[in-house]
Amino acid sequence: MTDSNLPEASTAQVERVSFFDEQARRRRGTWRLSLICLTIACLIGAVVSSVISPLLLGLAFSVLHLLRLVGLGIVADWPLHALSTWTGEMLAAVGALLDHIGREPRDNDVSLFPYVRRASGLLVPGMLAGGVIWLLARRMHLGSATTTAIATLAARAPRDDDFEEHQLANIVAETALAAGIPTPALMIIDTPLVNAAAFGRSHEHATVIVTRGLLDRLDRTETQALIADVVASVGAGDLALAASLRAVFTALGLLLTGIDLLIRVKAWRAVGSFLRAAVSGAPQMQALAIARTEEALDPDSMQEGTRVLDLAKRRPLLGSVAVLPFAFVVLAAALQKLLVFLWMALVLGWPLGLLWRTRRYLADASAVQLTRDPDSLVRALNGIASEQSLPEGGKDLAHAFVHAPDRPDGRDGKAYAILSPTPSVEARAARLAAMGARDVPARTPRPMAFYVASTVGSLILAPLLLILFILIAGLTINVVIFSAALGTFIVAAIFGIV
Amino acid sequence: MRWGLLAIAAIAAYAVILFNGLVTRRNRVRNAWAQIDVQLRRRADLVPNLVASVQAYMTHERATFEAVAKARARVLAAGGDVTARAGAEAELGASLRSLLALVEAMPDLKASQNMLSLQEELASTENRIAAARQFYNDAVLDHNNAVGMVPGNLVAALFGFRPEPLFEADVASRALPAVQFAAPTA
Repeated sequence: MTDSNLPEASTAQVERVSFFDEQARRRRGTWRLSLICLTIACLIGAVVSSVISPLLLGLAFSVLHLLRLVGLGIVADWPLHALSTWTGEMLAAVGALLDHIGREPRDNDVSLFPYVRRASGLLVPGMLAGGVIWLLARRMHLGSATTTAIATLAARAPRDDDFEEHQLANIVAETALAAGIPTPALMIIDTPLVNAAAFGRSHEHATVIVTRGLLDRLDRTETQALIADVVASVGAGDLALAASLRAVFTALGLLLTGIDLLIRVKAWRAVGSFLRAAVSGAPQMQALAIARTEEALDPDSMQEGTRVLDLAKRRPLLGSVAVLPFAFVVLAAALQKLLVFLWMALVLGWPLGLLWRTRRYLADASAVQLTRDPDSLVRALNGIASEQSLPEGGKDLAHAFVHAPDRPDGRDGKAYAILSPTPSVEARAARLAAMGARDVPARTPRPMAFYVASTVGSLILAPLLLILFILIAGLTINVVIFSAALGTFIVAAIFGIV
Repeated sequence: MRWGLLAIAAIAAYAVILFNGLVTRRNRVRNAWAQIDVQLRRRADLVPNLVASVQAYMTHERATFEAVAKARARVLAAGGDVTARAGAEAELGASLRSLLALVEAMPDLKASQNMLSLQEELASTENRIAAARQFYNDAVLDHNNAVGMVPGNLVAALFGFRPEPLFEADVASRALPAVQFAAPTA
């Protein structure tokens, strides 16, 4: 009796689920996490809007005044009047809010809210602009995804006279047929690593990229399982989702670039190529625009911005006077960037990572539906995970790959869990075991010391994190109110609005 | 009066949605059938090629070749009739399997490059047929559920939507194939 139980004991003990139930569960998870991500992205957008809105207002006033100067007063008069009235109202609202904050004694929690609500109208132009920019950025990601991937991964078309590659083309066609999508294009990367990825605009214009190592080292059923995973991901609409998520970063990048315009020469180039790419739609141009726009998210861009202030060092007297207005802009840009970095790293990163992992689990469940062969998928995933398996240039495209190990040796660790866009192979194998895969080893139980250490660690970390979040929230609110107020006052002063 | 009009408008809108849903499902079934058709034709097209490369090696197996040829002719004759086609295809599949079993017994033929790629094509085609059949049957199930259930059945009866036949897997192909179809592993 004990003998017959032995193999059972080494197999993961998980509750059996059908792949339909697993899919339904992951779809629900997608909705929940998408909603959370959307909310957070909107909040970050609101923060950046506090600077972008005044900038947009200034731009709009300049254009309208220019129109009036060249004698198009008929066109410009009415919008100018409406905009002035609105700005005046906002100015009053912001002023009232500042007065209220400054008043002693403060009873914020009772009556601050109506003031905030009135003044928050000021964020609307910035957020609307953010939405439009996000849509444009999403289109750019959709349009350039395949081109960028093929270029950075140095992928090539499969050779028809090569038996393995011909077989792979067959497998892709079979799987696409089972998933009910048009057969995706196929590209090969010449590397001994094992991995596969999908890129493209939609399930109708998808490209599957497979490493040569996968062909050489996996057998037909394992290859089929991995391809099914990729094709299932394509069929579930992950390509569009990936573009939407990446577009959040590009849009934030462009908004921050907008703040940088006065202090960083490259910002003009970035905005220029973004506008050109939005009009032309050529993939290379779109890829370039994305790269240039996201430069603003790079901490190095802050250093570039402060270079303006060097003028004050070179010409102490005249330089200082000339640089003074820029100092405010540099400060505002630095504060905004700091906030956006903090939000992206500490708040947005986690739900975003979890959302993408949920999609991977969904793809696994759908792959099981397509092949009815969870065992092969487990074996194939183990094959990927046994080494460092992102091909050269794949670091920025990690999300598109079936599995992206986050440590150089390829093994996954809990400590790194939140950084990788794909779940650990052990976790995926455990879910596949729940869907019927046999011979999945139970996850090795951790030593007692690990639990003690992690409990103590989290007891210490939790209050620190709480304090950190409170600090970030406080900083955010202050920065938002004061940049919005300062920006609006400047715009109002320049264009003479009372 | 106004509420009555509103109710009629709502019912009409609902009927339109139901009708469009039925049309979508029926088109999906037709498209899925077209996919199966493409793959079955692909298999039928492979047959002469296969026979040509095998025939020289085994002149004494006339009966097998004749069975394959007969099954292929029946497939081509069946056309778009799902039930007749399914039967003919099952027969062709079975005769191809017995032919490949013969190949299995001849090591030098089996190892030839031509035979390897033919086997891969056949294996892939069988997989595609299975995949297309699964997709077709899922589409049919969905369609038939929509046609058969209240309230879709009222709209379906009104506009002549009928349940579609499933493409049944034959008994022979349900059993484990005697031939190892998988091409040599890397």
